[in-house]
Amino acid sequence: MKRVAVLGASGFIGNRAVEMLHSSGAFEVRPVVRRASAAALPRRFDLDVRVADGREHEALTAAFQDCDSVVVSVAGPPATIVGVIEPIFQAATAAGVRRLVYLSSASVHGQAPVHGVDEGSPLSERQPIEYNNAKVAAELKLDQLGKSGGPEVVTLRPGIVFGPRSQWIGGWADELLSGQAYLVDGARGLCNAIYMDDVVRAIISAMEAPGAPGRAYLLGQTEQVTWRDLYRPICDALGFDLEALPDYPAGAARPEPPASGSKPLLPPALRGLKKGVPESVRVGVRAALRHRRSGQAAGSSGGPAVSMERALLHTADYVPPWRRAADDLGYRPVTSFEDGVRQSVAWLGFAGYPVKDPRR
Amino acid sequence: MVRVGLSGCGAVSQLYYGPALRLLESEGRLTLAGLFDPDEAAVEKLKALSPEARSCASLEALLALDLDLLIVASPPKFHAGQTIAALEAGIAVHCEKPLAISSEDGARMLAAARSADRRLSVGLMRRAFPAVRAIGGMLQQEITGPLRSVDGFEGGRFNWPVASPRYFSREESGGGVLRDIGPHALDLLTGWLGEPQVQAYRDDAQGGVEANCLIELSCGGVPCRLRMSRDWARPNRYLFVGAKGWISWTPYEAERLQFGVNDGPAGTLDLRKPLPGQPHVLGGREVDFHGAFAGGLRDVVAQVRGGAAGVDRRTLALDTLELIDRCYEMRRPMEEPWLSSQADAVEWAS
Repeated sequence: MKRVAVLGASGFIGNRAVEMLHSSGAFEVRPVVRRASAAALPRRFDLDVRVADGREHEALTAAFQDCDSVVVSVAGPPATIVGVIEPIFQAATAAGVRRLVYLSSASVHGQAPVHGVDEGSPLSERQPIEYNNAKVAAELKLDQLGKSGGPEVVTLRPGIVFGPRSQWIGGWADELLSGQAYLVDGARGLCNAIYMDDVVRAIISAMEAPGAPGRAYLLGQTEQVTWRDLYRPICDALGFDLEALPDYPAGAARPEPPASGSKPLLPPALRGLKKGVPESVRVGVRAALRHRRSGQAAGSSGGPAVSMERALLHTADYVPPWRRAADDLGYRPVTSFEDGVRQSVAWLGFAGYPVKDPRR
Repeated sequence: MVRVGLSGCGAVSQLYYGPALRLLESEGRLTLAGLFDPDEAAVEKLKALSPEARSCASLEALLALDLDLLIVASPPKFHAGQTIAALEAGIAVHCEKPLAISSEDGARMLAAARSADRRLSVGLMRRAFPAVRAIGGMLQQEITGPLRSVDGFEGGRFNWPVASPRYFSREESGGGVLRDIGPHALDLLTGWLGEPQVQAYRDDAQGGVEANCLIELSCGGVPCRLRMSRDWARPNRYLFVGAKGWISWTPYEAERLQFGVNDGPAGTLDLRKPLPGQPHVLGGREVDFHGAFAGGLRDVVAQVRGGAAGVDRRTLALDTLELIDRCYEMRRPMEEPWLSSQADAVEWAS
């Protein structure tokens, strides 16, 4: 049985990769997390969870030892996204890993890509969203490192990955419940959605596909949907009217604030308390601060600040194709959008959201 | 002055016991005589707070420091052994929750305390919160009318700075989120409504320990639902719904709760103490979680200094330990319908 390390195993895609790879019985999964506390989810299984920060060569090398493949699903601020690439690659090289599957993002092409974009299109590191630039830089770094040997690298660029524990589901539900949800231009833009299970299926293919090394693959779903299609079932489940939500023109968007990680979330007076304050309290403090900042930004309207990212997403009119993944990886989406949304709403009930008639 | 030893210098000591002990030391209530933890780096962090405390190479060396009170804040699997060793040495013990990783261990600890005629307490500090006491009083007086239901959610994404993934195992911790948060949640329910009867228990463990669980209980005929999580942040609160009104309380808010009349006015109750000489003017300094924690420890130290011994099942929440054991015995998997499609994943990919 092949051993696979999943780096970022506590994140939403990494966690799902652990679940599916392990439950398949076809892989021996080794979850790797940044801190021991992040082992709570992967340790639901009797798995050998390792702790390694993305910049720790020795810990990473030890975590990758005897692994055939490594799935890199690392989240974090832009500096982390870029900064972990070389240590991970070098550790995989030192551990003799055969193949590395890197979870990039379709956002390397922008949140609202121009028509005709595909994997062959040039990537820009001067986009208005720092996350995009970081993902581009990470891909370029991997390309550069791969030229001098080391593990084979396959890069995946999924679109809006949704499902249980995703920001597009839980985060949207949180926005609704806190009164902070809003749309831009009616959220009529195309949503490049892909259900999380299909991403994991593509990961599994990317670990083996012979022609894949050195290439990048866009991933998506079969159906063409809008953001409204994604939001509406969640609104319905929680008893909100999508049509009644604040709706702003794209021109109301503000430039992106400095990258998270470069600016502390807590104000100076609260920073010293951070370690000693229970997470549940910190969640409340963060929500209050977000609320306050949003109120300040919106001025007289009192509504939420319109983010550049959301404005771009909600006005997108093109979804890049995933033909290359179909041809090289044999990728085809299995979970329909409708099923994915249904599973997501079921998870909201599980997670304790006030879903009408949740399955408990 | 009460001489205190601290066994276990990990996260709970660094975040809570250390600062509280330092505060009580500055008040002249105790002397932190010694520390023990196999992790020397963890000991050094605590010594930064109390430089006079002696680092001990073993529990035996710590117990030899002529202690009046040992605080056991080591990993849960060591609670029973260390507590019993201290009691047998004639030292009172305050043990962090969970008291033990099984009800059998808890019973042995109680027997040891009785045999040694020494005080044994458990770190269920919330019991003393003004908000917790107020809820008990309000429920007893049926302020909300006859109680119809209780719904509690505790937890969030786990970020407690544990030392190793091994923490998430039955061997180290006796279970998952139920063993961790359950002692608080079930102890509170017991205190408010009497001993609960577990009707159903589900969790999401799949060979390891649970990150999510759900307990359905009955407290004197009132249906209660407790959801605990290490997975996803939701508002932490207990909601009591009665025929006439409701009470909502957020754990960690020691002096505040919300109360409303059904289809009528609602607001926040301020439970701070009245100002001196002004019984109807609330205005004492608000006590935060750290303050309330230190207050609980202050009471423990005072009772040890006063020579109080005596201990009972209720004080130690032994019934709660039995409830947790019972939950694990009747465990069924939580419904996670989105997991159903995983079986076909590799079939398709291969």
